[in-house]
Amino acid sequence: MHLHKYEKIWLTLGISALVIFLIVLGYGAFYKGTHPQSHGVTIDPNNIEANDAFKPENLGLTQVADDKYIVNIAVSAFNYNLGKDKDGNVVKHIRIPKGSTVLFQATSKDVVHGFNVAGTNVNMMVEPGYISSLETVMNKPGTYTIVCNEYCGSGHHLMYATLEVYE
Amino acid sequence: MMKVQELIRRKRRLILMQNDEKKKANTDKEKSDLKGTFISVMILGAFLVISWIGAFTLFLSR
Repeated sequence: MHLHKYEKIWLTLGISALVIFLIVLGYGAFYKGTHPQSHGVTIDPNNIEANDAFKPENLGLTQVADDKYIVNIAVSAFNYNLGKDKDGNVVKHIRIPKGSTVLFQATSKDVVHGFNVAGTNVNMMVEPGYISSLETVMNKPGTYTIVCNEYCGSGHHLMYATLEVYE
Repeated sequence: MMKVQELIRRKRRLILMQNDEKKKANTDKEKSDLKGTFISVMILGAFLVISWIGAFTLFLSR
């Protein structure tokens, strides 16, 4: 088969791009353990309290080590349930020190919602029946708005909370 | 009779000449100019690489 000189160049570039991307994908998936935010961990949406992470006392921010935190969120129309503070007030604002590793775990009680800490890579779909989780390092101080980015009903735009990363 | 033979000979020569032209056209096709195509492919490739780097940088910086 005769191939033109230029054809050889662009075929080589195209095939190497394919190989490079497959290696990157394989490295991320098999070595670094990257996976979709919701990857088959199931839960009964009518009884999320049966799961330890979503018991009312475990909702919201929990410190598990010096610089490790877990944030559990029970999502429903049109609210992010981050638990209650010592005085029994509903938590709508969480504070995390800069540089901490944070594991977000969320599940929905009703319809599909979104969980996006606007301006960061924390962005996931929250589906009823599944636990979505994402671990990240919060390196940039500031106050971020947590928004729902899946249209979930008439109160969709009222669904928010805030997350503050402090020095 | 001579005229007919002469006509046949001319006709043959004409066919041969036409065949030669066809061969020439075929070799021209094989040496086709792909410079424009090559430049377009490289422009498309550069666009893909730049947008990929842009998205990846955004991912790393957030």
